[in-house]
Amino acid sequence: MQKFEEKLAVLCNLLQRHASVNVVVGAQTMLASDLGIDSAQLMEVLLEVEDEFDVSIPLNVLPNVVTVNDLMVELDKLLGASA
Amino acid sequence: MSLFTKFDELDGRRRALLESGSKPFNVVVERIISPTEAIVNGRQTIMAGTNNYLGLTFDPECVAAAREAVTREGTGTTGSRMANGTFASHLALEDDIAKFFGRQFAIIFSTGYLANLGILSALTDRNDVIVIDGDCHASIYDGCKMGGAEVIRFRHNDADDLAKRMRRLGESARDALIVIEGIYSMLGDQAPMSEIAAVKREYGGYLLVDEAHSLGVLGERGLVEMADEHASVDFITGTFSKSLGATGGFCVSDLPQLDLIRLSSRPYVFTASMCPSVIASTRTALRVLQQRPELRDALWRNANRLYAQLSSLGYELGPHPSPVVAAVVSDINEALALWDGLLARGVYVNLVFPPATPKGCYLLRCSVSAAHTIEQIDKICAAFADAQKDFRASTAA
Repeated sequence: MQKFEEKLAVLCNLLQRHASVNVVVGAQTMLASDLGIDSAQLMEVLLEVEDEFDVSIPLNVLPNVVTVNDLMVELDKLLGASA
Repeated sequence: MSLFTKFDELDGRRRALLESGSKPFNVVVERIISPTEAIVNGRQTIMAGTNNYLGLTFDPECVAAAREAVTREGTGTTGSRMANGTFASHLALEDDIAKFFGRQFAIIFSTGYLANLGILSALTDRNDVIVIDGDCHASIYDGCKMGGAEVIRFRHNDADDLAKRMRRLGESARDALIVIEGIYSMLGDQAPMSEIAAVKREYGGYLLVDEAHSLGVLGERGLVEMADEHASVDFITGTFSKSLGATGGFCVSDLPQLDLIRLSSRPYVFTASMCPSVIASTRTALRVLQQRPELRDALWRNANRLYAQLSSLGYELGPHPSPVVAAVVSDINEALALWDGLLARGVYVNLVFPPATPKGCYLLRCSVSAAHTIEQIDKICAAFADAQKDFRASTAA
């Protein structure tokens, strides 16, 4: 099983491809605002994240997700639950 | 930080819009002339954004039924059925709508929004999972949120993506509630009903179809009937406010537990019930819908004509002809210019902004009526052509 940091690197790489501004995506990058994408675009990116990790992210968790690290923490919980 | 700080961004966007001269959210319909015409800004305007699919708002039989009911039973119920009691006409409408759909049970709500809110919030709680199409209406999202269930969305109209998400749920899929719509309100596209039903049969769960925009439009009863998937669908919700020209909403099912919703659904228990005149016109409209299939023929004639003409003008539209014909525009200035240009030429359509639209686009959304004449459809198309020419000329200058 991948370690948290390894999964975080995969997530950062994926998000980097969608950043519309010059930013190096890391754990503390703010989703949407730092990536230069709007909320509708973010929802599309999340579909890709779900495919990458083969997990469905419930909408309910999103209000607590602000940074890339927050998203990875939620993904990690979901991956743990489905393992 | 004040109570209203959260509105600062919205207020800024509204001010910018008003400064641009466009007032898409301040339209006042000064006088209604017919199902398809009104006075707006002092001029006669073709209404092409009203969801009045069968044009029944001025139907003489429906108007007479409403008039007779308001005289006989008064203007309102002045409270909820739980508190003030159920009128005989509430039960009669529930009986009509259950029989119409060939289902054993029906429950009516005061609006279509409340039907989805009331059913979804009462059916599910934090121990349940709801899997919804990403393009579902706000009433579905709000109902899911109110119930507190885990909400997972799948890619719009993508049955394979739904299957993937059901697979990920494992055992929980057996009790998950899948929610789709017959016709999606923004682009007018239909759900792939048979493919979705096949996923439900494979993984289990329950299936709810909202026929708000498809009742009386796709056949008499909507997409479930048209796709012959009656047995795979557990709940059908819908509204009386579009093809039936009134207001109110419903849910039908063969599951006897539907009756328990009456006791547990806050949007059912804590709001005033449908008033007698609205019930009367709705019951009449339901009969008219079945007796006059020519209305549906006229609706589709108009829908196909508008879709074909706007398509030939180069507008990007939904994937197939539908009574909802929406021109997709990616730039806000173009959307505003076209909308202003249409209204100035006596054509009212809906201007829809993100996040209410798919993928953050802007929509000039038309909804066609059986009551539109061919001449009106052609005038709508001519206005789209002229507004487009003006916009192109202004950007080329």
